[in-house]
Order: sequence, then structure tokens, then C-alpha cells
Amino acid sequence: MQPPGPDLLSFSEDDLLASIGESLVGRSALPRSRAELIALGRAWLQANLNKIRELVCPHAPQLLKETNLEKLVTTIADMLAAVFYSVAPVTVAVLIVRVGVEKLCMPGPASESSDG
Amino acid sequence: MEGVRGDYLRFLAQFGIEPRKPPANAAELRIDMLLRMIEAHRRAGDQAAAAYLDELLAKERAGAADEQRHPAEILLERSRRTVVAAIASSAYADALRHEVFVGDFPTGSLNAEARRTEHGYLILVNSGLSYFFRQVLVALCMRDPVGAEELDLIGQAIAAYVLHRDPAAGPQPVAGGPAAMLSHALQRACGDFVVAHEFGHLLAGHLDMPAAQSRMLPVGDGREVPVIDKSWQQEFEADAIGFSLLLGGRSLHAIKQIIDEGEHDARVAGQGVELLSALAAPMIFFILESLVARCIQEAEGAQLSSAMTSTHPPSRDRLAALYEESIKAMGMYLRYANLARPLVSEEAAIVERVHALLRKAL
Repeated sequence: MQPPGPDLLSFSEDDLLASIGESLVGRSALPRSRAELIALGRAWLQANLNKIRELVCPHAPQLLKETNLEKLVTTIADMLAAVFYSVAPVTVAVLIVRVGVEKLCMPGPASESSDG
Repeated sequence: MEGVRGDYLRFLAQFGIEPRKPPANAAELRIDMLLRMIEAHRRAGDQAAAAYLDELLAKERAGAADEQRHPAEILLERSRRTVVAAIASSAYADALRHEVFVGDFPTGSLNAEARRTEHGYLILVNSGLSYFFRQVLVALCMRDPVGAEELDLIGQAIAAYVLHRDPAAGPQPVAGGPAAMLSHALQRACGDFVVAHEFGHLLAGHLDMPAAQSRMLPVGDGREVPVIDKSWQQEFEADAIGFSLLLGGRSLHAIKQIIDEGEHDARVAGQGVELLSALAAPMIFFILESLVARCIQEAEGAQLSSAMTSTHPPSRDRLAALYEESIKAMGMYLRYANLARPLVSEEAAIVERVHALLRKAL
């Protein structure tokens, strides 16, 4: 898996969700607004959150020790690549790193905000 | 679930959604509505209309129990059949080699999209589109000239979309008599144009081309995200094919002849209204899109939204390209497009209404 470009790591959560949304839509009749792409990206993330957790969270202890961001993103992207092919795994991995592996994998109310 | 419908269900599942279902008492509601309409026609002494509705009632009673689809799905299936029939008698007849499913994408958005899937092609029409067409077209058909009340309705429909991303949260205007018939014909034509445009991409092979080149899309602050490039030329091409299919592949001469006959012969009058609606539908669609895009841009911030609109040609260019050669020849046959004139002449007043509603809501 190619490491993420330095720009991707600087993206906001909304930028990353918009990028996911854009990759999910087909050839649309009209341009899609940024808000719509973010909403589509968010809906996809919410629908796939459990699957992402299943793939990532068993490795959380090792992932939390990784201090090199690019390496962390690449490792998570590799975990996702076999299952998610309609979106760029690197983009999803950057989003996970931005949200926080701990928050993604920690059960309880603290993880709820990442659901939506 | 097999075939392309299965692909559709899997696509929706990616977003954690399922096809919309009709309410449990949908058949009962339809029958009740027909009974009331029949009674109203009998009271008015219109026995022919009552007899026609009696037939519909008998069909409804015979088949209603089997109908499990949402009305949106039934309408989209009708659009699919209309367009596929036009393709069969067009130069593209051989290009349609795979199954195509036209489905409802219940997101509230005003858009549609097409994609290649494992078993064929999917054309997805976002649920907001038919609501929005109904809201605006009923308002435009209510009175001539439209007044403040109709402009309010249009402003409310756009504001509901900008605020809630779903026009279903907006007004539900109701028209009766000829206004209802006219707005219904235009709604169908606009919906069919959207589906035909997506078929245009499919028939031109745009969906089968190798993965389109990636390009960088500016998102503000000088930063960019990678997205798939969708050529403007392909949008123009899909518009042209879609328009031709909407007109059933007929020549302008043949269209004029049918419309003219309809003026004097009630037996073909309906077909004339359908063709007049089809001629005007893309123009109405693009004018509407341009107005909504302006409101969204102003609400979201021009920089961010204009970056997104660069994926498609501006609506005014699509409109010009589509009608460039034929607009003079169409002349009075484009008269239904005049209904959309207030969207242009009253644009500032509509935008101001939208702004006022947004200010109030935020």
C-alpha cells in the first residue's frame, strides 16, 4: 500500500469524508455539493463502522504503539484493502488516524461520536 | 437476490439503507382516493371520467394486494420502460446489451447517477428529485403569471433542500384541473430526461471506459483531494442522447406534426402534451438546477461549492449546447418552457426568499 501523501494527512475530517463520498458516486447528472459528498461519506462510514472495527481493533494495541503517522496509516490501509474496494483504503485509514484508533476501538459512549 | 437488482440492494447496503417501502395501507389509500374521485366526477356529471376511473379501480382491486413496491419505484420503472422503448427504435438499439435497473436512491438529494455493476448497469435516481420537480412545477403551473404565493412556495422548496438536504421537508403544493395535468406531464418529462441522460452515458460507453483519470479537486485553503475526472464532453454527449431518447428518436418535423394534430384531434392530444413537455423538460431542468446551485453556493460558500461544480459543465452551457441548433426551429413548440420563465425573471426575488428562510432557520 502506497503511503499517504503529506497533504492527505493534513485534511480535515470533512475533507476526507467528501473524498470518500466522491469515490462512491457514479456518473451523476449534476455536480454534487460538498455537503452532499460529506453526507454520503458519513453514511458510508457509519454503515461500515462495525466492519472497520472488526478489521482494525484486534490490532489496536500494536497500532497505538506506532508513532510514525505515515506508517500507521499504511498499516491500517493494508488491513482495510482486502475488504473495501469502492473507496480508497488510504483515505479511510487517514480518517481513522484522525479520529483516533483508541476512540474507534474503545467501547462505550466515547466511541459514539465517531459513528456519525 | 440475483441480477442487477441484487447489485442495487448491495449498493444501498453500503450506506446502510434499504429501498423505501410503501405504507402498510397504501392499497387502501389508493382505493379510497379513487372512490372519492369517482364520486366527484359523478356529481359533476362527467360520466366518461367516472367510467375511466371505475376501470382503474377494478384494476387496483385486482392487483393491489400484490403491489409491494414504493410509488417512487413504480414511477422509475415506468421511466425505464419509456426510455428502453425509445432505445429499441433508435440507432443505439444494439448498444444496450446488458440489464439495466433504474432504482430509487433514498437520500433526498436532487441528482441521479449511473454505474457499471457486476450484472449490468444501475441508474440511481435520488429521492429528492421527484419531490422537488413536483413542488416547483405545481407552483409554476398554478397561475399565469405566477404571483408572490407561488414564489414563496418555490423559495420554501429550495430552502428546505438547502437546510435539510431533502425537499420532502418542504411544501407540498396541490393543483387541480388543467394545472395538475400540465404539471404532472412536465414532472414525468423532467424525470424521464434525468433517466434518459444516464442511459446516454451508458449507450455512449462512458461507463465502460477504463477507470477515468484521477485529478486533484481544490477544497479550499489551497488544498486538494484526488477525485475521478468526469469529462465535460461526456456530459454534453449524455444530454444530447438523453434528449433524443426523450423525444422517442423522432425528427422535429414528426414531433411538430403530432403536436399540431393534437390541437384538433382529442385522440392524439395526450401525445401532443407529452411531446410539448419533453421538448421543454431539459430547459426547465437546467434552469432549476442553476437556481438551486446558486442558492447552495451562497449558503455553503462560493469557494467550496464552485470547486465541486467544476466536475460538470455549468447548466447554462449544457442548456445552450442542447438547444443551440434547434431552438429557432422549435419556436412555439417550446412554449411549455415559458413556464420556467419566472425562475429566471424572478430569480433575485426567489433567492431573497431563500436567504430570508435560511436566516430564520439558522
